[in-house]
Amino acid sequence: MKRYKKILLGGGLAVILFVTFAFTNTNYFEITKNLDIFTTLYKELNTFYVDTLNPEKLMHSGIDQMLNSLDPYTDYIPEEDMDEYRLQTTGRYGGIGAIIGVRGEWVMVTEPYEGFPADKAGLRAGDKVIEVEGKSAKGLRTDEVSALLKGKPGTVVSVKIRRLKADGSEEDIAVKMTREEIKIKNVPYFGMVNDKIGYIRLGNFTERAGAEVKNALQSLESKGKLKGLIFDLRGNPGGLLNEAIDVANVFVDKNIKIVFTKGKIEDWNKSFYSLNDPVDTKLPMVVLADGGSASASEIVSGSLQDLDRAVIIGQKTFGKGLVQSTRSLPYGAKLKITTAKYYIPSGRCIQAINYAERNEDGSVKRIPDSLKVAFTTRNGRTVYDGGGIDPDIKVEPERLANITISLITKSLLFDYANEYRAKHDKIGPAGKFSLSDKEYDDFVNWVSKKDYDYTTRSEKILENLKASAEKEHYFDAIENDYDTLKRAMMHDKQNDLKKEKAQIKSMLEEEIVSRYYLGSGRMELALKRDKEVGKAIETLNDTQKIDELLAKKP
Amino acid sequence: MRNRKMKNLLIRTSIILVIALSGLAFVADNYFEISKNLDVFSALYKDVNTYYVDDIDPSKLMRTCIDGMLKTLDPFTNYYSGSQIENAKIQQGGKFGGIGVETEVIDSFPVVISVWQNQPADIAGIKVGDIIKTIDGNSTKDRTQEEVDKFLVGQPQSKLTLQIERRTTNDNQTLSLDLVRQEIQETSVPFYGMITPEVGCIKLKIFNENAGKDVKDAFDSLKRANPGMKGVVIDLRSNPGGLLHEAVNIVNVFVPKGQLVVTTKGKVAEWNNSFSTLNEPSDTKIPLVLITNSMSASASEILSGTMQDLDRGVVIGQRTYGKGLVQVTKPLSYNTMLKVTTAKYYIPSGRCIQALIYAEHNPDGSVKRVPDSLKTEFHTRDGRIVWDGGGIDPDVPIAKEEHSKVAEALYTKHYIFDFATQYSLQHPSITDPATFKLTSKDFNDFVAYVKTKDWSYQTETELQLNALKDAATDEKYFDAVQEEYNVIRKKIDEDKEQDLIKHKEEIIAILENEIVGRYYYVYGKTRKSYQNDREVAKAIELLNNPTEYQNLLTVKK
Repeated sequence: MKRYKKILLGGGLAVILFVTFAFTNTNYFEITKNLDIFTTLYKELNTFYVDTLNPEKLMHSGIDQMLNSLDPYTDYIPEEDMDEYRLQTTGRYGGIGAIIGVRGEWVMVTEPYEGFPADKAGLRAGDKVIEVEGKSAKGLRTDEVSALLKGKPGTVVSVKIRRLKADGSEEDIAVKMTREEIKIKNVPYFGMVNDKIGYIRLGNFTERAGAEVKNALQSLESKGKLKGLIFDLRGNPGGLLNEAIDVANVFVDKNIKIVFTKGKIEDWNKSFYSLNDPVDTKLPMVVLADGGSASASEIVSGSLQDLDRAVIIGQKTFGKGLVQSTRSLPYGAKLKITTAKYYIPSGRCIQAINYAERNEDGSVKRIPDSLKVAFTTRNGRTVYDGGGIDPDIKVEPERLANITISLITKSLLFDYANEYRAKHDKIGPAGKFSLSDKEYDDFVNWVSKKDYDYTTRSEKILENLKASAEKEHYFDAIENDYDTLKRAMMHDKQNDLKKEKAQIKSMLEEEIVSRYYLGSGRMELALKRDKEVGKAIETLNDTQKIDELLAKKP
Repeated sequence: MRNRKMKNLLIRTSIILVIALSGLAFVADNYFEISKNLDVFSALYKDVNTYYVDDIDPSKLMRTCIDGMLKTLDPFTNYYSGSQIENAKIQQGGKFGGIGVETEVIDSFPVVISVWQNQPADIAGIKVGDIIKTIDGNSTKDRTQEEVDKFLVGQPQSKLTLQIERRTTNDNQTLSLDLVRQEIQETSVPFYGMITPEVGCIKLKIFNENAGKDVKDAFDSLKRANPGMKGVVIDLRSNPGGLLHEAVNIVNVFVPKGQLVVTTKGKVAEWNNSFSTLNEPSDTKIPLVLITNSMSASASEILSGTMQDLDRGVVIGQRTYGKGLVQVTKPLSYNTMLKVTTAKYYIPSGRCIQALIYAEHNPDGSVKRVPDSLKTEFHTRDGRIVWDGGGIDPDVPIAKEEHSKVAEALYTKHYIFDFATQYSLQHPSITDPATFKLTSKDFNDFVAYVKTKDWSYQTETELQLNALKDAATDEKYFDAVQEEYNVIRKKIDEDKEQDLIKHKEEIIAILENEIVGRYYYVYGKTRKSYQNDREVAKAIELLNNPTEYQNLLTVKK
């Protein structure tokens, strides 16, 4: 909570500046004039429009459009959305600690968080929420059930759930849970991937992210054999700037400039230094990053790259180099606004899209390669601005096959894992779990009775091609050839289940493991077959290679 | 086929009602909500302008906000800044000082694409195809269409000097012309005349402030000159609408005095209004066929819908646009303006033909159409069934005629235009529009001319073939089907070479229209185009067959 207040305090300070700044600004007249026009327009509209308007919704849509034209991070948050916003920055709420989602007419538990009330009460993925406080939850939306389950820590919520049994029938179970303050962990998992190499995954940068990484690393080191670390920032969308500094600080010395923020007004520019004693500045480390690693993730991966502290493996990161501050508006609303760009130690800004300049059609412009500027890391390696952090070792991401996507979106892997859980009281250790070929065949049989299908993109376009050719009178000339092509291209479900067996089997195994060992079990198993983790282990096993990668290129 | 036309059309697709609305107090319970939201907004807008990382233009930002807000309502509720208002006035009033030409920027210079008969440019001898090099000494090179238009319009009676280049096959002529701008009144009826000895036709392109008088004059003069006229075709295709009372005046030409035509209804009952015919009609009996398409909107739908509801005429063609909303303009501070939808209108059967419910959206964000299940049945005066919620359904639907890609390409690349320019420079005169025909030799000349050009066009089929290759490559099918794919690709390439011949009839018709326009202006071009027009042909057939015509207007048992 403290750090959050700090940001607001920064905002408060700015208000004083605003008074002296705004009134000397030549834009002042323009701003007043436009506000005047807007006020009359808004009143006229509400008065004369043919239908009765909702003034708030109307205003909201105008504001959204206006802020969207700036960048996707500048946002208006009306009072009623503040809870959600607070959750995003603090990771805290009062509740039972479970992810839920709607399936048919019921909302279902999709994953309980380890150690929180839902988990402690024995709730499982797949449990349907039938009643909350004696009231039927049939037909409610996810957000409605979520609101019923949330509440002040210490209060009790009674829920009736419906669970699948081994024989396929269902039983209703009444559960009482005492709500707790749920703090979503920034480090959902850490552990050893082999006897020498540790792994820490950081999923978010909410409050205490730095402390959690520090604790995780200390815990891994306390076992004494740690020779290398994989630090996983894949899919981490970022969060608080201060936490990014603290996370980097775990691996680099005190008093290093990690980030410099620069905005329109010089007085507000600010440098951020590492303030604490590090945990380990020498341990060889690999940072895993991908296109979903953004913002604070890029500060961490970028500063570790610029300081030659870690080898980055994976894919180019998102490219968000903009900093937001929160400002208070009347009636409890807030404005989250981009006030600065940040620059990492080499001096580069990794923002990929220049929102101020648009293409003629209004679409945004990526910074072209020709305008990218070269910077140098501490050791003198060349790095570039204008487009995320480029990994030192690129690994192609794994692509899901159409059939796999279909099995996921139709929740068939989810359902099958629920049935598996109902039939098997326990399984072996998470990291060693594997389905036999016979068990996979059971799944294939089960799934072939289900109603699901997918159309490949090729098949869809094939239909369009026929329509166009008919319209333009070319079809007669190609009719027979078209049929041949179509036959060659049709997908075959049974065949695809075999062709993509490796991928589908892995996903199913992970889903099943999560029924017994929750998120951490899923992680543990997933790491075993993770191509990028494999590459990281290989790299960390070769210390000479790491030194080479981080040394100045001749 | 022409983008600019489409843009104008969208702006114009509206009924402007000029009613003086007295100052009204806010509905009390909304008042707090409105001022609260204005409070929040004002703080937010100031903060954004002050703190945002980059410099921003406050007016542009505000414009985005207003447009974003209005977009959630309907496409006809618009905000106009000071500079836009001048344009809007021209579009509504149809009056401005000019020389009577339309231009289009082609290869960095404005080219005359239409000359209005008996207007200053026409009198000075300017021809379609002339390239305007300078206006009052200012070079026009690389000017935008908007800049060129600004140069050309001005106060009536003001002088203007143009330097013109006229390219013939042998040499390029340069002419310097002095002109005097005149008040140009855009005509609402670009064509009227007899299209068979017994069938008259009136084309109405817009409902400007003279539309009622123009149609009445056109009809009266046709009737006077042709006492035996058996029926009239009214062509409303692509007419975007305009002024509501002009729609009532046109109805009045064919319907007795005192007939209720339109009722407008809004949020507040006191603002509702009715509009009836006020004058003596010209002819309440003569059979009428109205041709509509999906771009016939607003006032066009009042006219066609009223004729349908009163069983006064047969509507043929395609379903109309479905715009049943009325706008009023309100001046705001700093010389800006708001055009706001204040009411829906209802035609004589009591139906409102609005097709889209702008307040409701589909899950994908698109606007909802009135679903068939919610459409309500209404009855015409004689009891025929008609429906609300989706434009005017023609009594005789005719599928829309589409141009082939090759014809479209020839048109957009201006080969049709350029060929017509050369033809007209080589032939001082042609026969009248109705009998003019291109010879086979002319068409071969055209094919030869096009062959000298380096041009290409992409058919939809080719686009789909490319997309298919991309998707199949992506989905790892392509290697397996490459052979089959290439066979299809090759056959289509071969087939495409025949396109000019395959679409000969269509291309000749377009060429003839363009050429006739060079001698007989819009009037001749329209007259000529009616010869190859399935919808006009059907209209004539109906008017020549009173039994079928009557049958369509009679209640089905």
